[in-house]
Amino acid sequence: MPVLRRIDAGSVSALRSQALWHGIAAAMGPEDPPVLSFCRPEEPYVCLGYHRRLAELDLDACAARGLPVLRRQIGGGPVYLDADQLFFQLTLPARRAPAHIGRLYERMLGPAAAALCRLGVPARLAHTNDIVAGGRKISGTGAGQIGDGVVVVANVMFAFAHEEMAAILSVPDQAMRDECLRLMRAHLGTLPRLDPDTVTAALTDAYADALGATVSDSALSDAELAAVRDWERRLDDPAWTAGPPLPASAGRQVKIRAGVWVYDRRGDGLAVQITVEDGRVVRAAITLADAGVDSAVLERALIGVAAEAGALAARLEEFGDDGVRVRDALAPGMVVR
Amino acid sequence: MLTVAGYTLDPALRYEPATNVWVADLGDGRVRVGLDPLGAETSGDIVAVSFAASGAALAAGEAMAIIEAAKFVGPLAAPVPGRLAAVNPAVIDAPGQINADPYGAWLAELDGVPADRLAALVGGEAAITAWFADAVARFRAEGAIAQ
Repeated sequence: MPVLRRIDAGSVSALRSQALWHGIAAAMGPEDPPVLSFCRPEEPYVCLGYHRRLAELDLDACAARGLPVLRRQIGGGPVYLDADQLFFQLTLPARRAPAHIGRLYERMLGPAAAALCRLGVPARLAHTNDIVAGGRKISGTGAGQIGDGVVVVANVMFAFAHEEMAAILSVPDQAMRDECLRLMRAHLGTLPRLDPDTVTAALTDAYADALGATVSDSALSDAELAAVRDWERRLDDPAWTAGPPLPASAGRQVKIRAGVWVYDRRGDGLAVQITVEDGRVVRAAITLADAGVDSAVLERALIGVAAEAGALAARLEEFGDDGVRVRDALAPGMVVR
Repeated sequence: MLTVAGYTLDPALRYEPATNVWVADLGDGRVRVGLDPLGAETSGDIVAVSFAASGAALAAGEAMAIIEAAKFVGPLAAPVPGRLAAVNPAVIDAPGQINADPYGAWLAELDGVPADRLAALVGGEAAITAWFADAVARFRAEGAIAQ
């Protein structure tokens, strides 16, 4: 019968909580068994996806709170992580991972949703890679290929420090920070009635069932430990934290979960900020210099419109050049990351 | 152009089957590379791409780019050995073009590519058709693409 190695690293430093799974993936060989790993950070920190700008964070706020900032080699935006979260990761040889991104998440995150269901949480996979329950996102996820290993990373939040998360974001004004906080409270869920040991056991059973494997509790091998230490050095390197060269961004977008985000764009006598929930504009604030149309009229016109470029363009068409200015300002914010 | 299993393929190109990358021979050991339509489809909606350092000497299979789609970050392997001579700034600014126009949205150019390594890739109508039909059938069987 196939084996699922389980590595429970327990409570570890912020750096180790990221290096752990980077190293396991980097050390994975094409014939190796899958690894289900767990850890919890013993200290709070901030973590940023590979292709995200450090400028998305208020680094002064992070420093004032003593929060390390680490960049991970998977996707997604900036997140606040602490000991109230259980991290788990499934790592497979790349050749055994589904080629299609949607199938990959189904196979590698589906068991996590099943495990939570067994614990009484009505969890399901939604929007490719969110785990949701009761309309709220309850697990942050991401994935990547590191060396010959493909890893899917997720967490379970027993509590979440919404205020801290809102405070460490770099946003253009307090209104956007307040809106981010409101949306996080409304759309992120926690599982305070569960405990880490129970969740760990349920996840282990669910992944073993899904893979048709027997569980083998395991420590890091020498090769894995060496790779983890190598990744600790890399993740701690300021050059790595700075990230790869990225194109200039148009405006500021903060995504809370799929279908929910805030977008702000300023310049050329125009300031636009919109909030999107469940794919539709629910709030708009527009300041437009030298406009022929009252900004309040434009704001009202946007409410309820589907947040995609075509629908916004159609709705704004009747407002002539002013509508075109707002349409063009909003367009980059419709590409959601 | 060829149509195989509903996908359009350019028979003038060569293909690296393991990574679904197309390779255009520009002459004098220089090639241009991009994702083929199957690679673009299975990747998901690409939201970011970054490249190895300009001028980097790459072995075949070494990451020439890092691509992100649906919060998945993965390497795109060089299909042949060579030096990273150019990257397409258009795909850095608008990575979604790789999905929308896989042949137009080229990714990078390599030079110093050995002729025998280029010749070893899948090329010619018959070979391309056979390889791609098999790849599509396999992906469909795995549920990786629609029937």
